[in-house]
Amino acid sequence: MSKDNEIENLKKALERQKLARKQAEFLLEFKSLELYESNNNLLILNETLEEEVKRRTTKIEEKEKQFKVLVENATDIIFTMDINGFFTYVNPIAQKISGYNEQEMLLMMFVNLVDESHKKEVIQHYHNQINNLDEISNLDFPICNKNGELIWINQKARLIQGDNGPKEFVVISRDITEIKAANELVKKSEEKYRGIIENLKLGILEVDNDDKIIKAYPQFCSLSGYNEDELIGKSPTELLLDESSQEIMKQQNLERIKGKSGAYEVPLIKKNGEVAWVIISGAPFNGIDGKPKGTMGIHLDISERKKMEADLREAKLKAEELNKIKEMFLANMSHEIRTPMNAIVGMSELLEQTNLDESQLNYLSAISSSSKNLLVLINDLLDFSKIDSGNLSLELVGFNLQKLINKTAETLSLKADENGVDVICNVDKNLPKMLKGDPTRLGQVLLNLLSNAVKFTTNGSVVLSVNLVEKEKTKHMVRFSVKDEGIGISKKELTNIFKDFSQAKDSTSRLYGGTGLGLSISQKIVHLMKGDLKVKSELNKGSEFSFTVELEEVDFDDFEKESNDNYEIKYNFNQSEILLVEDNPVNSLMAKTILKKWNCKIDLAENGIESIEKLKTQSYDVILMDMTMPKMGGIEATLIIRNELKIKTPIIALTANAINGDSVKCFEAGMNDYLSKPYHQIDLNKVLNKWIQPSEDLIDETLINLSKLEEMEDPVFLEKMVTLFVLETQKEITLLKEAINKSNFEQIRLTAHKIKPSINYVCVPRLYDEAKTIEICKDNDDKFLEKTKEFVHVLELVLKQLRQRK
Amino acid sequence: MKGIVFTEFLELVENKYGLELVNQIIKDCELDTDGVYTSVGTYSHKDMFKMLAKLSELKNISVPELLEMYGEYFFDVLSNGYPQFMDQPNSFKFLQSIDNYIHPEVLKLYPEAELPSFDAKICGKNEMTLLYRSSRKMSDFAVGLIKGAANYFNETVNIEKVREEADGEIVLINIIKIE
Repeated sequence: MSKDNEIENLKKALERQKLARKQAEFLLEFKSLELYESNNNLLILNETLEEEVKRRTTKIEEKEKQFKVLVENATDIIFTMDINGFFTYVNPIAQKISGYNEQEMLLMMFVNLVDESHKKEVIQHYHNQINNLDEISNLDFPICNKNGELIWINQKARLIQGDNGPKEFVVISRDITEIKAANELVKKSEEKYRGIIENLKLGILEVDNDDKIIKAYPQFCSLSGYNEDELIGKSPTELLLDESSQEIMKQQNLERIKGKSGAYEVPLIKKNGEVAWVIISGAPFNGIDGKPKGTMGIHLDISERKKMEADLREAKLKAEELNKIKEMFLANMSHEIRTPMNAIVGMSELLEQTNLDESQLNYLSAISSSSKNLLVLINDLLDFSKIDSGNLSLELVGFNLQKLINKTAETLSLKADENGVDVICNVDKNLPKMLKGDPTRLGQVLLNLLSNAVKFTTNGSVVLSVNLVEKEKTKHMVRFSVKDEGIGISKKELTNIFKDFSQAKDSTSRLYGGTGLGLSISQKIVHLMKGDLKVKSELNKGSEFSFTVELEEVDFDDFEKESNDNYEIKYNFNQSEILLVEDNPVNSLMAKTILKKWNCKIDLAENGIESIEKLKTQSYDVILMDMTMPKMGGIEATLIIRNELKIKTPIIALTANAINGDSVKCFEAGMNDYLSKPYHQIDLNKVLNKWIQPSEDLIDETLINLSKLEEMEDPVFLEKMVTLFVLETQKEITLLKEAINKSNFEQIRLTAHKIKPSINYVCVPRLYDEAKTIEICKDNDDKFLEKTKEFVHVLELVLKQLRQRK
Repeated sequence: MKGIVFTEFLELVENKYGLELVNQIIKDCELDTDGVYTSVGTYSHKDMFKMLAKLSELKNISVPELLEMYGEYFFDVLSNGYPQFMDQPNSFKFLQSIDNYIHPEVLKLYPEAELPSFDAKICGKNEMTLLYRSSRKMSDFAVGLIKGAANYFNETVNIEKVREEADGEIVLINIIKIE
C-alpha cells in the first residue's frame, strides 16, 4: 500500500515534470524564434543604415561640389581668412579684382590689400569684431589692387567660432566703385541744384499726402514770415490760405495724388496778416517705395506783378471807358449832323424836280454842292475816327475797274473844267475787267488824289494811270498814279503831308479849303489795302501820288456782287405797300414824297409801338425802320416783330449812326438791310428793288385764274369784279388776321365761307379747296391757325398778282 | 509570478515533507495548472497563496512563518543561480542594488514581470531601512530573503518590520547589523 502509494506519487510527480518540461521547451522554442527574428531585423537594419550612410555621404559630396561651383562663379568676392588675417581661400573674382593669383594671395594678409588711407580703420574694425565676438560685420573701404588702382568695396565678414574661440572669417565683398561714384555724382548734383534753388528766391515747401508740411526751405520761411518749426506738421492749406483758395488747393492736391503736376496763383496769408500773391507750381514726389510720398510746392512771389496787373487792368478799363465815350460822342454827333443833312440833301433833290426859275436853280445848286461838301467833310471826320479806333474794315467785292475810274473822273469833271484842267485816264489793257476789292474805298482814295490834283492845278493836265505791275495767277499787283502839273510841294513840306490835319501850308486851307485829313485818310486806307501811298513832287512843276496794291481777278461767282454801277432807277413798284416807321416829320415827308413818285403805297408809324399795332392787322411788302425813336426804337420793335408777331416782312434800317457796329445790331435783331442817312434816292431805290420781290417759290405759281370771267367777254365787268374782289378781300384778310390773333375759330369759319364763292371766279381751284377746308375747321385746332395764316399769305399774293397783271 | 518561485517552493516541500504532501497540496488546492510549473514560465500568484495556505493548514505553521522560511531558502537558490548579481561587498550594498540594478536587469529579460520595489536607505554604518511596496503583500518573503542575504555575506542582522500600511502593501523594514 505504502509502496503503491509511493509509486503513485512518483508517477504524478513525473507526469508533472514531463508537462513542465514540455511547457519549458515550448517557451524555449518561442523565445528562440523571437531571438531569431530580432536577429534578422537587426541585420536588415544594419544594411539599411549602411545604405543610408552611403547615400548621405554622396549627397554631402554633391552639395559641397555645388557650393564650390557657386563660390567659384560668384560675381562677389568670396574668401576666408584665419584669425591673424591670412587668406585661407580666395575665389576667382577675388583674384581678378585684386590682381593677384591664388598662390600669391594665400601668402598674403588681407590688410595688405587695404588702401593706406583706411588701413587703421579697417584693422580696428576687425579687431573689434573678434573682441566683441560679433557674428557679422559690414564695412565700406577702398582697396589698392596689384595695378595700383583704387577699388571701393563693401565687405560683409562672418566670424566663425571654433572649439577654442574665434577661428576664421568667411567674407563676401562687392566692388562698389561705380555705385560710390554715382552716389558722389548725385550728391554733387543735389548740392548744385540746391544751391541754384536757394539762390532763385523760390519758396519751396514739401508736404506729405495728409497735407502736413515735412520741410520748409529758408526762402519759403522768409516769404511766409513763419520759421520752419512753426510750419512743420501744419497743413499749409489751413495755415496759409483763405477759404476760396482752399477749394482750389484741394482740387490741386487731388490732381497731384494722381501724379499730375500743375501751377496756379493764390493769395498767401503771411504770418503778419499781409497777403502775398504766389504762383505755386506743385509736383508730386515719390518715396523710396516708388509710391507718391507727398508734393513739392514751389512758390514764386508775384505780389509785385499782381499789383502791376491790377493797375494795368484799371488803366485799360479807364482807357476803354474813354474810348467808348468817344465813340458814343461820335455816333451821337454823326446822328445829329446827318439827320438835318438828310433833310437838306433830300429836300434839295425834291426841290430840283419842281418848276424853278434860273436863279432859284442856282441857289439850289449852291445848297446842293455846299451840303455835299459838308457831307464829305463829315464823312472824312467819321472815316478818320473809324480808322483811328480800328473800326474801318474793307469790303471784298467784285467791281469794274474801268467804270470805277470813269465815275471818279466824271465826279470831278465840273471842277476840272472850272480850273481848265484836262483829266486823262489811262487804264492798262492787260488788266482784267473785273477785280475784287473795296471799290468804295479805292474810289475814295482816287477821288481824293484826283480832287487834290485838280484843286492845285490851273490850266494843265492831270493823268490818272492804272498799270499792271506784276501778275501771279489771279493775283494782280496794280499801280495807281495821279500826276498833276500843279503848284507842287516843297521838300520840307513833303515830310508832313500824310500827317493828320496837315496841309502843305497854313495858307493852303485859306486858299483851297479842306480839312487836311484827305491824304492822311487815303494813306491809312492804302495801308489797310497793304500798300503805301508815295509822293514825288517838285515845287511849281507838279506832283505825283502813287500806290501799288494787290487786287485779285474776280471769278465768275463774284459778278453777282458787282455794285450796280449802271443801276437804273425803278419808277414803278406796282403799289407795293411800305410801312415807314419814322418820328422825324421832315424825314418822313421826304420819304413819302419820293416813294409816292415810285408808285408805292405808304403807311406811316411814328414809333416802334405804332408799327407793331399796324403789323397786327395789316401786311406790308417792306418796312423802313428808323433806329432812334421815342417810346420804342427800331431794334426793340424788330425784336418784337420777329419773335412775337413772327412776321417775316423785310425790315430795312434807316440809321444816322454811321459808326460801325450799328449794322451788326440791326442784323442781330433780325433786320434784313440798312440805309445810312442821309441817303440818296438811288440808294433807297436799290434797297427797295432788292427786297420788294415776290418770294421766289411763289413767283412761278400763278394763283389767279380769270378764265371764268373772261368767258363772259365783258372787260368792263371783269375789271369791276376784280376791283371789287381786291377791295373785299383786303377787308377779309384784315378780319382773318384779327381772328388768327384772337384764335377766334368762329370768325375764321365765317370769313372763309364768305370769301369762298368769289375765289372760285378769280383764283386757281386749289385756293377754293383750301377755303372749303378752313370753312369746316374745328375749334382750338392750332394746325388750322397755321393753315389760315398760310392762306392769308396766299391771298395777299393773289392781290399782288392781280395788281401786276398785264 | 515567475515559475521559479513555484518550482522551488514545491521542491522545498518535497524535500522537507515528501512527495505525498506535494501531491496532496496540489490535489487539495485545485490549481489551474494541476501543479505543473516550469521555472521560466509565469503563473498566477493566487496559486502560490492557495498552496501556502494548504501547507500552513496541514503542517500547522503560519503563512508568514512559511513565507519567511521560504524566503531564506529562496535566496540561496537565487545566489547560486545568478552569481553575477552577487558581486557586492555586504548585504546593505546588495539590498541597495535590488532596485537600482537587479530588478531593471530582470525586467529586460521578462518585461511582463511584476516586481516589488525596495527603496533602500542606509542610515549609518550598521543600520538601514527598506521600504517594501507590492500589491502581492509578501513582505514576510522579503524578510526571509534579507535573512538569506545576511547569511550569504556572513552577517548577523536584526530585522524588524517597523510599520505596515495598506494592508501590508507598504511595509517599512528596519535592519540593524550586529557585529
